[in-house]
Amino acid sequence: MGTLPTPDSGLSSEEVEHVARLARLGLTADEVTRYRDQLRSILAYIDQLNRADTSKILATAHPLDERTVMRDDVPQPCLPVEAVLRNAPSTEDGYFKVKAIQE
Amino acid sequence: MAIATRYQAVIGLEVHAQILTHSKMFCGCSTDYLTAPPNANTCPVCLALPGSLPVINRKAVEATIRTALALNCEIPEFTKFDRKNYFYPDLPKGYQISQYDLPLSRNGRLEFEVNGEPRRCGITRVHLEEDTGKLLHAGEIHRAQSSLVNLNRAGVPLMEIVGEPDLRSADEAREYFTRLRAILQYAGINNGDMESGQLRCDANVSIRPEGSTTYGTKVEIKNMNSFRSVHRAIEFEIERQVQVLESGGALVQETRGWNDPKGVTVSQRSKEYAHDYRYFPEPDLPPLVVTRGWVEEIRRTLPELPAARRARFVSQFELSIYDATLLTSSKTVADFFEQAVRADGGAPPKAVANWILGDLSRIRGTEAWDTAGAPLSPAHLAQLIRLIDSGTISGKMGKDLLGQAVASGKAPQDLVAEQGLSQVTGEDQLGAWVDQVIAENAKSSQDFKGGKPQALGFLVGQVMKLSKGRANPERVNALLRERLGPGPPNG
Repeated sequence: MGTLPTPDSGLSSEEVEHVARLARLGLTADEVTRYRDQLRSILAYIDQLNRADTSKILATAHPLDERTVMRDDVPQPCLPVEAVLRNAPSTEDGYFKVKAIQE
Repeated sequence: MAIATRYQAVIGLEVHAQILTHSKMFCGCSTDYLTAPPNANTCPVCLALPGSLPVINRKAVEATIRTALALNCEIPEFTKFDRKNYFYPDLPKGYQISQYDLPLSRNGRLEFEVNGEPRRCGITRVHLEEDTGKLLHAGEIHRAQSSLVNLNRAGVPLMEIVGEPDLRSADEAREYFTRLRAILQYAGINNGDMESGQLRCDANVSIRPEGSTTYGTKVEIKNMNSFRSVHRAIEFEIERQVQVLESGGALVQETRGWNDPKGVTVSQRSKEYAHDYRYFPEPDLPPLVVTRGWVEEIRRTLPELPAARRARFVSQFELSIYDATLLTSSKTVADFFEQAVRADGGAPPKAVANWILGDLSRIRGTEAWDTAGAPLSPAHLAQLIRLIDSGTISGKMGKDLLGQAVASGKAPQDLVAEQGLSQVTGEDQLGAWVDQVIAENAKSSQDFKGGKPQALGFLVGQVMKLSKGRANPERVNALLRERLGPGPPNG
């Protein structure tokens, strides 16, 4: 999150649009303003948290204490292809069909 | 060319290797994505259905640690997975589970040689992630209206080996990659097949003035699908960058795709926000604690690695370093060699090496043995060598027989018996052939007696022809000299 500004500098509408584009969200001008103000207040709170001294505390990798959960390499049954494709808006010959994507 | 004196190339390779587990990285779906019908090997986890949760495949973690140990990496005690965000239909979650700041391993090195000179390349890290699904574009990609998505490959365990920018030429890059591939084979990760995508390689290439210590503008090359294309693409790219700078231009940091038929790299339109991956810790996976005991357990499963095996081939079998290097750069070939030497009855190591690197590799290039197998069994090669060594057949017949053994799959011994190919060493039969040839070639016989040594070779050839190749040429030579007198000294 290093690219985001501190609340002091204020989150700009352009930055909200940038983040929205990364998340593939189409926002109206009103929404951009509304989310900008909401995000500003969230960032202000984060900034408050940032002032706490955490120099002697390791970064939290996970909120739970659980560690090293693994499974054996044993294949399990998969879903039937009909079930896999049931909710797909478009399919062809067992494939999901999507709008052509050009890199 | 200017490059040798004025510019230095700086190259780092990023290698992806699929891990040949039975089930996927985070779910129990089969990893057999090549033969299964489209989307048949998918489940709620790899389809990213709501409410599904990933569980780590222990074997994939162990394979990664094993590789990291073979590459002299440090294995930290604490490691975790992260989400790498990107939207593309080949991964339905909208992110790839990968590793960001706390990978399974780091700070390794790989040693190799270029033209007999030792080289070393640092290994930044070896980490674990998941492969993506495959997109099928109907017709030409730029005109296709739709893409078809097959998620059988989505979630297959994928290891990424990031090398330091320590390589200085296309040759060095190729040797490094060849050695790395051998280590992956030896560690049982995969067969090193680039065509099927088991093994993939991207290269970061930049150039800088000779003597400079800062890096130039880096270009990433993708889409190299063979060892040859890795070498060609890097060579092309270095030369292209030199020409841009020499003509007063500036290089841009970009991704370029290798176009193999045209032999050029082509700028790929960069996705606008492609590198804004916004990694964050994967909340669905608890971190891993890699105990030292576990690491030692994995270390014990490491096989003899290529460098050690090569040294053993030199000391145990008295092979040249050159032959030993060629034989051990593929585990399949090295195994074949040892099996032939140790086959029932055995065969001399030097002869086995010569046949593998000579006639056998002409029938099928050794790099294809990993996927297609050796052209014949090691036991049959050993048998063929013994047939020649014992004088049963001549060396030339051995070469013919090799082709037949490969084509028919029959044992060389059976082929010799079937076709009555055994070399004739009996004096009666040989003597009769020799007498006939002397009688029919009176002029050559006189020439030999009269001081033309080359006439003897002609006569031996005639006997061989008469015997359909079955006469033992040394015996024929001796018998001719007996009949015609010693003749002139050989010369």
